[in-house]
Amino acid sequence: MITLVTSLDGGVGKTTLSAALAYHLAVNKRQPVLLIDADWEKAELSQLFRAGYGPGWLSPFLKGEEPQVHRIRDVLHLVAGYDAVEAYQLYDFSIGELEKALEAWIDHVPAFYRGVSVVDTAPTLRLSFLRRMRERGVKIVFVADVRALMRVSDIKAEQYAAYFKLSDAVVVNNTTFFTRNAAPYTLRRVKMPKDLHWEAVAREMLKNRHNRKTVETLLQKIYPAAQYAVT
Amino acid sequence: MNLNLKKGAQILHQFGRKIADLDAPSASTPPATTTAEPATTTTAEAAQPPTPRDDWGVLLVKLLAAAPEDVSMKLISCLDKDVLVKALRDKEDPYLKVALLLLKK
Repeated sequence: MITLVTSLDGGVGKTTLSAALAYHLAVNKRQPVLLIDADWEKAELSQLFRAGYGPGWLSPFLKGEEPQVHRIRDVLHLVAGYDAVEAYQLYDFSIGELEKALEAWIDHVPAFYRGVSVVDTAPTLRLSFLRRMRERGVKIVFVADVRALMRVSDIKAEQYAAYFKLSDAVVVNNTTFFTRNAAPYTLRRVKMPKDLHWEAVAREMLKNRHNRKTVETLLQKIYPAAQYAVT
Repeated sequence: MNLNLKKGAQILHQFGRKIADLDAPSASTPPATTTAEPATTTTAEAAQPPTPRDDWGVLLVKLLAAAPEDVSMKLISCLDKDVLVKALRDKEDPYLKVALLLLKK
């Protein structure tokens, strides 16, 4: 059960949604969750979870080192992505190489992990990569903000349409009261806590009844009742 | 620099074998939090979690008593003497009262 959280634009709330999904599954439902911070541009998930610096998901491919698995809770683990950010900034990799390394994770994780794996990614992943992920049975959650609801240009609209087509669910983040029903899965804007710690952020987000319902129905959609039972 | 995809996949394969039971929650262990663990203390009393009855004065005194001496001295030097005396005066302890009288002398 692997979920890839992705987007077209940056800063739309992929990491926040990943944290909220992890919180709801691991803390509220006691379901095992493995988070992989595959955002090679920022690794914000690793920072949000206060993961210490160490070998992350790219280390096996970069340095021949085993990755470090951070135990956040007894049923919640995280593989950080600091090494990938460094590599992305310092070396001349082709994106294809990073994609292949991530694909290797997608291929190997089900062999050793039966819980839910949530992969937070960089924005604008290539459509060919997402197609390959779908072929492997990965659930794709596409996150957008209200820009997706506005027709900025025909090109942008086409880009969104292509991503929507490959996604199992589209979540529109930062909606207002008036746009809350603009898409099947919307997340209301909430006041972010001063301490940007994953628990505080996720709790604040899920305190909102609309957001909590969105997360629950989203999980029901991507993990049908046989695999994920909402209690 | 290139990524070694073949070697990486091998390492992941071996790594997967090692952590195959990652998703098996241990029923006996309470959930760990990411918050910092409290520092170990020197006395058994100080190691106990504060009870709701403990007021700020008691907690402050317990902290100062439990911390290493150099840390306690630094903390005391930051605190107002009257604040400390007030915290101590509230405690019905004859030894403390004598200690306070000695200090006043």
